[in-house]
Amino acid sequence: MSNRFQESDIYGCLGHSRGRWRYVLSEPKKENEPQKVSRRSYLQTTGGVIAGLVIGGALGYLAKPAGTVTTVTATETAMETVTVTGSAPPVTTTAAAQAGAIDYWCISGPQYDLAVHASKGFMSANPNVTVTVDQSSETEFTTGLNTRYSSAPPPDMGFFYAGPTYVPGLADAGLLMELDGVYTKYGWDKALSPGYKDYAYKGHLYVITHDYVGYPYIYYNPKIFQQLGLTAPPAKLDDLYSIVDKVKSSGYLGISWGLATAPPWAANQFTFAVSNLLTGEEFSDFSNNYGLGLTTSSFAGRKVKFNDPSMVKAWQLMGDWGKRLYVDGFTGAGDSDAISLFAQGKAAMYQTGSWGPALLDPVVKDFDYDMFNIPTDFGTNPGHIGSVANCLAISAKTHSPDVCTGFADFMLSEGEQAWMSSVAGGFPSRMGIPTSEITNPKMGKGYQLFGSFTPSLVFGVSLSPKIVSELVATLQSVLNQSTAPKDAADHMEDYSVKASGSS
Amino acid sequence: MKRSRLAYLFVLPSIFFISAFILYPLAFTVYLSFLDWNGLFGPRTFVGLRNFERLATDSNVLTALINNVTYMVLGTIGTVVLGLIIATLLDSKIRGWALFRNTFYFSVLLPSVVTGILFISLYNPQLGLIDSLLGLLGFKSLSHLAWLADPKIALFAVILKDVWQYSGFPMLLFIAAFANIPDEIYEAARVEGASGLQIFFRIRLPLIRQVLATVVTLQILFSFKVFDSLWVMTHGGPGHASEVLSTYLFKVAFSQQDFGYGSAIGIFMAIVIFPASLLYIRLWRLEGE
Repeated sequence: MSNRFQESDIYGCLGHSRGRWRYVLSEPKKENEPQKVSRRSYLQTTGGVIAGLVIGGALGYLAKPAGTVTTVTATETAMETVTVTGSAPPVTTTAAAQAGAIDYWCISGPQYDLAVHASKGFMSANPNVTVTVDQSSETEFTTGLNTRYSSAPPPDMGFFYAGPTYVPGLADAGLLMELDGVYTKYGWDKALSPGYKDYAYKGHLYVITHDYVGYPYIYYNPKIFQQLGLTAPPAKLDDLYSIVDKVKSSGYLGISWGLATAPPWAANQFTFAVSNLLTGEEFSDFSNNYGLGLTTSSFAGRKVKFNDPSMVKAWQLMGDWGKRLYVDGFTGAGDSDAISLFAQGKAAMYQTGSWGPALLDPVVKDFDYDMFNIPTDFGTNPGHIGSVANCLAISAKTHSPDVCTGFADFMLSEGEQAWMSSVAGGFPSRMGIPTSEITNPKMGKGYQLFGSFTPSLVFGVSLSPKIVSELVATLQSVLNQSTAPKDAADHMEDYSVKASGSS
Repeated sequence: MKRSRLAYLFVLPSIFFISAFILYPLAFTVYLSFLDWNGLFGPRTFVGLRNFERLATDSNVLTALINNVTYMVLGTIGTVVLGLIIATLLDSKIRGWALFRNTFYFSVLLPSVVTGILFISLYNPQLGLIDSLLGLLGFKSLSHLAWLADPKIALFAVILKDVWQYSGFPMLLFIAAFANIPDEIYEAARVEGASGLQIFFRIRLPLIRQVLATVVTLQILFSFKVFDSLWVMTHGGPGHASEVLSTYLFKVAFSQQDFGYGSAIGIFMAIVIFPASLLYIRLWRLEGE
């Protein structure tokens, strides 16, 4: 007789002892039974907890240190309140602001560093003023911009993206302070580079052009270049391809690029390609009609489309660059990883914007890096670079408008602008700052390179928000070779037509 | 009559909160889906069914739906099976089982944002630990794999991370369920000559089927609402390779400032989740009975 276990056996077994097991299964386990809590015990515990919280809170408040207070609330969003007790950077301008406290909100990284630096200096010069600096990662900042400025209370002021993507909605809703008079009052209309006029909306100024940045910049490791007999900068795009080929065949990685940190950088790169392929007039037509004009009747009369031959060439360049220039997996890598690859000497080059020295200086120790731009000889209208002004904006709901404008004026002072250029990686908006004041030679070189190009406003801030995120996603898929350039161009045109509501 | 009035008075706060936080937002979302509005300010233009027409022809929605189903199927199978295996191993009361249980459950307590950032580094094709381990173990073809940048595998890389992180939740429920099975049943089975596998498939699983069904249904619901891991690790990319409905909804509503279309996607998502929710409610009622 087989002793092979059968399903029927076990259920027969269960059936044989069904009554006992049913009893066992249904019998409540005393150790699991919830303990009854008497009303007195409940009240005692609750009262104790509340009393503890009140006493703890009071003690905590009384024990609060009077000096520097730094509170980091989260990885993505952190807040630092700085009360200056020590020395501060020299104050070069600015009338004393009225007393008050303001919240300043910006992107993490160099923008945050410069805000903290400026807030220390400003509070030192204005002891009755408190500036609280609040930061968010670039992605969170972008998606939360409208919500934060519409909320109650909004940040009093902060970093702001220039361009039609971000300004019109908030300006039309009356949530941004109109700054026409403020520009005159502080003399910014004469002191700042005239580029500020390009950021006017409906004839009014809502943002303060604080500094300018360029994109893309390639930072390279001269040691590796020397070792491989490579010369920089490359004169032509083909030379750059040859450099990367040689670098890769020698066991090094190509250009590290941390696109996952800020996917809109892909749109900056695309702007760079397009601006060198279209005439100035065509570029403006495209930016306007796929920007503010997307949902207006002017869209129907656009002269340049996403899938026109010259634009398809830009898509093809993106595909070529994704395939030939960058390290594997760059669309999924963060900027810190890209910097690590470069700083460790694994990648011969690193790509980011003109703010690169602000990120590289603290970590690159083993070699004296240098920089160049991607040659623009591929274009019919060469010599352009993607650019945008890093701006400031003030909430229309602020209770301390004078403190906000005073702080903005302080950030535009010569000393702060020079510090910003040297450390935080932007080119000054204030004119006439001698290059000798830019103490970081790398930033000085970046400034010179920037001056050799014609800047073109990047699509990330110039196109309509209705299509920007789709453009970024589509560019990613071209960069990593999962979508053919022509298909991507057709898709974006189709998507834009649908988003315009004119389909 | 007085008693019924008192009863109504008692349920009034619940009715208020349900109306304010569930019914009103639901009705408002339906209303928004017929509008063209940026969600915060500006005119609200009635566009009829245009948002739903766009939804029907939007290839990104189809991609997101397929990814949602992929995530749901693989994520649910992965977490439940892994949770079941770990629970079974721990139920044998091996030495230090409580430590193992707590260790396996610990990852569930971590925020997805934290584990997401951790895995971005682990998955890095040049600097990541996973790449180094694969290289050391001789899997040369798998080293330098662009886990999060390759559109063919990015979604699976995120699923793998979530299976690792969340299998502790079903594990805990299964351990509790196993604890309620009397030892006599196992003893009887062993006396009858049952093998370990037979005991597992014919005693353990049938006796915890109620818990298993609940866990599976919950995992289906959770996985359809997935957002944080994907947002942190891939932003739905590269391209739309790991896009799911929730990440696409977020992009449309907040990045594209198109709350009307975003609401239409939200309603579509609710319709897709509805059967799973009904199943869960039914199971919950059965358990109650």
